[in-house]
Amino acid sequence: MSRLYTLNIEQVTNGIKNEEFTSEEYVSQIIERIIKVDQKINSFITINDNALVQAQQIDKKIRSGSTVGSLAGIVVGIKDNISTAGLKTTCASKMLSDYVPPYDATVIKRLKDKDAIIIGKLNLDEFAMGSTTEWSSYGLTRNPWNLDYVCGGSSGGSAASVAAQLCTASLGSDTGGSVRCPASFCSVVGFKPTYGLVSRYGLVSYSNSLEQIGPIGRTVSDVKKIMEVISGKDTNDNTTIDTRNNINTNNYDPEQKNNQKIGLLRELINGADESVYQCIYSAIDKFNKFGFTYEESSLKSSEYALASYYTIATAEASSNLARFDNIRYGFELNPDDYEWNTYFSKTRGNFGDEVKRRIIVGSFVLSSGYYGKYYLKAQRVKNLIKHELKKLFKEYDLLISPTVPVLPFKIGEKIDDPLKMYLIDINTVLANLAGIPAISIPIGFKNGLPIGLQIMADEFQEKKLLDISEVIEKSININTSYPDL
Amino acid sequence: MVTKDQLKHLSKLSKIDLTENEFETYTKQIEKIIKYLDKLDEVSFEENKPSVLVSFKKLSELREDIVIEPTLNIDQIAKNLKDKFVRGPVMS
Repeated sequence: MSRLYTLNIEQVTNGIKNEEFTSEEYVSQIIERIIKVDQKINSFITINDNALVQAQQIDKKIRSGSTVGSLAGIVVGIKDNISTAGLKTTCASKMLSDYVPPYDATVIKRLKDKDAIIIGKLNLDEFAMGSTTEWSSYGLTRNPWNLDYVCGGSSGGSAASVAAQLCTASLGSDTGGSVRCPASFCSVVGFKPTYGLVSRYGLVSYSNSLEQIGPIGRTVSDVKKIMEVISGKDTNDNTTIDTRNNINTNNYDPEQKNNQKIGLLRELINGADESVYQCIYSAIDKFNKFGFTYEESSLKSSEYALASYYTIATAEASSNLARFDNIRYGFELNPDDYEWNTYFSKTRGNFGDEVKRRIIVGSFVLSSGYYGKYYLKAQRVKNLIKHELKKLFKEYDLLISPTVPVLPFKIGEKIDDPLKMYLIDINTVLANLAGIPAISIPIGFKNGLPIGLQIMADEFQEKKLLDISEVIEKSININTSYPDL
Repeated sequence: MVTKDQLKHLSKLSKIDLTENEFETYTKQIEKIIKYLDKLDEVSFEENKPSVLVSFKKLSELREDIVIEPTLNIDQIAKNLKDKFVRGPVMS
């Protein structure tokens, strides 16, 4: 069969189980395509040499009549800050250029347990710090829809590879929008779960109190299927929650799917570019016909969200990245000839610009005399936002906004101005500060560049959020052809 | 206001060597970033108290504190090894 790489999760797993094609055939086609296409977009850092062998094992299991997992044969790309046993995990940094993790992250273990195949490791902004995937020591990733444009970030490789049909689905990590922003820029679906729903064990930490691992797929249904496998309590991550008791179905009856009240966040739509603004309203017109009640709503504290986010994220980054000393892994520099502090300072100078800046900003906001002015206030703003959103969710089932206020822009356009780059995250950071689930789904194009709609729900309301997102996805029904690469 | 001297101090604290060029550009860029973070001064707080709570767990929900014997072979995962020890720079 030809063009197997276009299939969604259900089609792949059914096709393999029913022996319409083999897992080996599917993986071979994907690898062929990666070799052909990825030189144009550069979404992969490492390809898993064992993928074909794993595919053969799945085929063997099926031929012998053994049961296989629910994701049998799908190929998943993994952001290169998630640990994979025996497979290099670089965080797109020189500081981890030769690091091979001795263990699998919990999410990887869960995917493998369901017979998913890890196809390789995907490009990102170094240590997930960035919004365009231009800050990678392995070179930038290009937008598959237009190679002169950024693909978003920091999970740029995860979004670009799914849009370019180089894997069935992928995992990214979202600290301030790092799954949703590239999903929006690449016209795929990206989901950030409630804080505590997915284990962070094995995710190289950047800002622990904000980040979650989340799936990227070409449809909401694919994202749902990955979530079913990776969610749930993990004794190795004490912030995870037992989903059996906590997946909240309060006030939600799946039979009444269309009976939802949706609020459009005024502050977030008013900050958007004209083309994004128009696209959001035309999407609303389309899904309004499905019986949703919709009105504008306001979140006053959103004005301070980004300042709060960058204070907390840089503070945690400065602490988390203190562990990288280049001694046990990293690049070659013999420690024998150096004094302790000199060695660390010299090697740590090899972090990229954005990482160095964030570590220094983080050290600044935590330093004595400034702690109260920045860090403590940022935490209070975080609470304020959480509190205001809780109130809004008493009134609305879901809140919507543009995922990113601007269209994808040209490579290099914002790279010299960190603050301009930070402003890209202005709509996405809310969900991380409040710990709530948020998704980005494709709603259209302007001049061939994708636009995404962000939908947020109250914490642990993933069932409702994903169900309604599926309805909205269907009602908008944008052209589902993918870039010709 | 962020000065170049302040940045030198911070780079020393965070153990990151910066070139003269980097000091120049970072000072300007970080100055702008901090100025943006100063927005936090405009917020008026009413009832909410500061909190850094990240977990919903009760103490009773924590896992058992059991020692798990390492199964890893350090030779395979780390460099700068000599006689099963990791070599580091000299402490002065």
